[in-house]
Amino acid sequence: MMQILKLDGNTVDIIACPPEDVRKGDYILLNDVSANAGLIVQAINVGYANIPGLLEDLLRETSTKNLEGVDMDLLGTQSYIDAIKNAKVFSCKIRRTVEDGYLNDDLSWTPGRSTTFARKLSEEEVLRLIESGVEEAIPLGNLRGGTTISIPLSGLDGKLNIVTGKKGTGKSHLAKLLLLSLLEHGGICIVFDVNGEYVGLGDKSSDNPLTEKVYVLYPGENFKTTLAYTGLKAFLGIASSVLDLPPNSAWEVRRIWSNLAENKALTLKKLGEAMNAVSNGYIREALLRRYESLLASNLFTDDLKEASTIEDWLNKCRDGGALIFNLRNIGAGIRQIVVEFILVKLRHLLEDWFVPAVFLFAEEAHLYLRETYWEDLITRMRHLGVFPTFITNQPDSIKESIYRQADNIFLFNFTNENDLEAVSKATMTDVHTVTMIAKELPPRHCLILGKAVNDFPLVVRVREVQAKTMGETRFFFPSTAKSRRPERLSLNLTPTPRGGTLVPS
Amino acid sequence: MELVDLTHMVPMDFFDLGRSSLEEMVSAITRTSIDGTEWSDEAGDVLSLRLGSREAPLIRLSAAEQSVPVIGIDTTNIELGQTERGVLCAVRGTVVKAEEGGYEYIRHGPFIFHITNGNKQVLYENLMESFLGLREAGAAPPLEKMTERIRSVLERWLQRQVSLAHRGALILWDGSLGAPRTSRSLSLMSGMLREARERENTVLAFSKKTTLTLWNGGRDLVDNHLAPSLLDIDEDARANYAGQLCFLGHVYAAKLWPGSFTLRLDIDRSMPVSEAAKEVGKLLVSDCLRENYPETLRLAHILSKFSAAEIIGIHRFIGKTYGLEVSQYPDIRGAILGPLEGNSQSRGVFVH
Repeated sequence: MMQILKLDGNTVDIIACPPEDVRKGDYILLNDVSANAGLIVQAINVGYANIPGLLEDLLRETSTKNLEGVDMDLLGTQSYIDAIKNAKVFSCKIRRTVEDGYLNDDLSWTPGRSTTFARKLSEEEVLRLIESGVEEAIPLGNLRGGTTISIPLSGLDGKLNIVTGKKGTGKSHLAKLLLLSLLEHGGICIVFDVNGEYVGLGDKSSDNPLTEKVYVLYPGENFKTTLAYTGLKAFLGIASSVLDLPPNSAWEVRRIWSNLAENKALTLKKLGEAMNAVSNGYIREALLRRYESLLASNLFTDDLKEASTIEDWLNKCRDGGALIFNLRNIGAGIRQIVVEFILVKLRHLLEDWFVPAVFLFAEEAHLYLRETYWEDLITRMRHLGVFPTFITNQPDSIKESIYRQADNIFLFNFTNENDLEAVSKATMTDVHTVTMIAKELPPRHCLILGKAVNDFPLVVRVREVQAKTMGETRFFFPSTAKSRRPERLSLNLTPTPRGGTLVPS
Repeated sequence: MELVDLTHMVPMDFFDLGRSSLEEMVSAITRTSIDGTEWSDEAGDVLSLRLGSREAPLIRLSAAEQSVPVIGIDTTNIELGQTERGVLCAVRGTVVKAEEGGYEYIRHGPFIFHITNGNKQVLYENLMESFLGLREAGAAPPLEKMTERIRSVLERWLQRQVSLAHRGALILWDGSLGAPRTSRSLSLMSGMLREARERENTVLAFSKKTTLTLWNGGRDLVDNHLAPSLLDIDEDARANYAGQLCFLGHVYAAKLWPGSFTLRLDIDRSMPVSEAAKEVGKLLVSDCLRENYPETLRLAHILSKFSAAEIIGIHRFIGKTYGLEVSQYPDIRGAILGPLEGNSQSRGVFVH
């Protein structure tokens, strides 16, 4: 039986005696029968009830713990005593009220203590809360009891997502699952793959038919472009923002570019020659240094046969597809050039409605995304149709303003308080929920916060993906490359002999 | 080592009588008092001996060469609350056996009773007859004393069963071997001591409730360097309570371990002092001593005592099983910590 013990702000403590199997993340309905209303609360912490004199009791028990003996408990009271000793208190956060069967965001109503009955919500009921049963949904995994959970596509479409957690907990796995699921529904995705983790999705030897929709692009190898396609605006953007070209020199670039364009001679070779011919020595030096950086990126080419455009690739993705830009083996500067180029072109394409929208997956975006783009991505570009998903194991690398704008957070295990504090800046959650639940999440389990779960935070075990999702991690020792299976520990879990308890039949 | 030979000691009548009282199956027969004799087990325990300046004989003890089984017995009772018609109480008893360095126990109970003015006489008579063989039990004590009396019956029964089940053992009682001269327990205790002797068992009764002090207020009767030893204070004890109490045991102040206060120890009076010293010498090698107190008795006490969680659990059991509503709950904290907080006389709570 569960009863309200304490109500303080949006926190409710519920006492359960005998203890019920309520775990962190589970939902409880506090149903006030007198008011035909209730509260939906979520357990964020579980502890033992503070029974008077329990400390003395336990200290006394330590004296007799290892004794062998028999308890002639003929009345069978021990189970009742155990129930008291094991009584639990669930510290819960109020998520929503229910009035006349409808969910309500007004949390100001409080139930009566004596007229309220508490019961744990079944997983099926929880799924109804998050509207998991809609047709267009992404099967994400299972709840603790094994019930399959899907999140509605509308929970991701047009949304800003953050996937975070410490290394090895399953962030990238989830990101890949989301990506493949979006592809399945015809979504167009672009991935900035900083660690080369997504290239396996395009492995055609895999059984997954979706691999046909995945295009892995290696900037400077199978992805090159011409200056003419790049355009002056994007070129200047790269030169100024990434290569720190001074304004005076930018003006000179603008002049050279216009001349070359007018003469239909906009090639790398001609550009280099024109820059070399600049009379002012300082400006010439500045221009040539940037030019060499651009050449080193290998992103630009004068050979039309090897050049391609974003439009070319996006056209292949019309019925759903992903462009994975593998940024793994290229230097930090060149990485920034590539990203700048793609984002500028993408913005233009979206402004021109070349594609309705794209889902952008950015792994460790702080490594290549310049300051101004963060804001641009979550404000202007988002309205144009870039729906970003940031994936990081450094939550403090994402600015607070991003957290405040985030629609969904897929939070994996973190043990570090500072990391959790960073995540808790998101508006859709509170620091207690994050710290209490995320700290104890096992690998492959994530706490989903936000629109995807109708603002009912939920712990989900992320399902397997039928595709090559593993990154290509390099090892020195061959044995370490093998995945380790957890071994059964040879711990003696049988209790120390304390004899039996005799109860009447 | 097992105590299985003691598991046959199932006090079914205790169980049945308690259950019947809860189910209100005990017929409400009231009897007038046959005699006014008040039987109190504790009468002989709660002594305050102020020893004079005269030097009592000191008996130095030496540890025996071989250990023997040691069996300690203790019981506890507690008032669980009051109903509209009476009192709910629980009793529990534990037997702890030490042998070859190991300890094991049998714990009986809790046995729960609902004592009302309507059923207390029948209950009392049944218990006295079934467990102590006393056919004319006399009038039941007042309601508030019944809990303590039931506990006492259980304790005597356990003590007797242990005596009958063992041979050549040291049997440790909690309390003394003294009783009021007019008490029914005198003959009972006498018989129990005889039965123990017949089986070559020795009863050592340790009393925590007897206060031993010197005239100057000192409580350390024996110097540490003299431990282990016994101080023969039998004459002092008898002189102090001559005419009121009958001492079935020879009274000693025992200091079995240096650095601890002396405790009152009663040993069967029929046993010569030299023999008694040898028996205590066996205890030195057969049981651990903490603060001068045998571990078997300490464990028996710990295992018997009710904890707060147990009391609440028993309340739950009574409510769920018998639907009895407690109108007034005792102060759990007072019940559990009463003696520690200097409030051993908490209302309605009897802690043995």
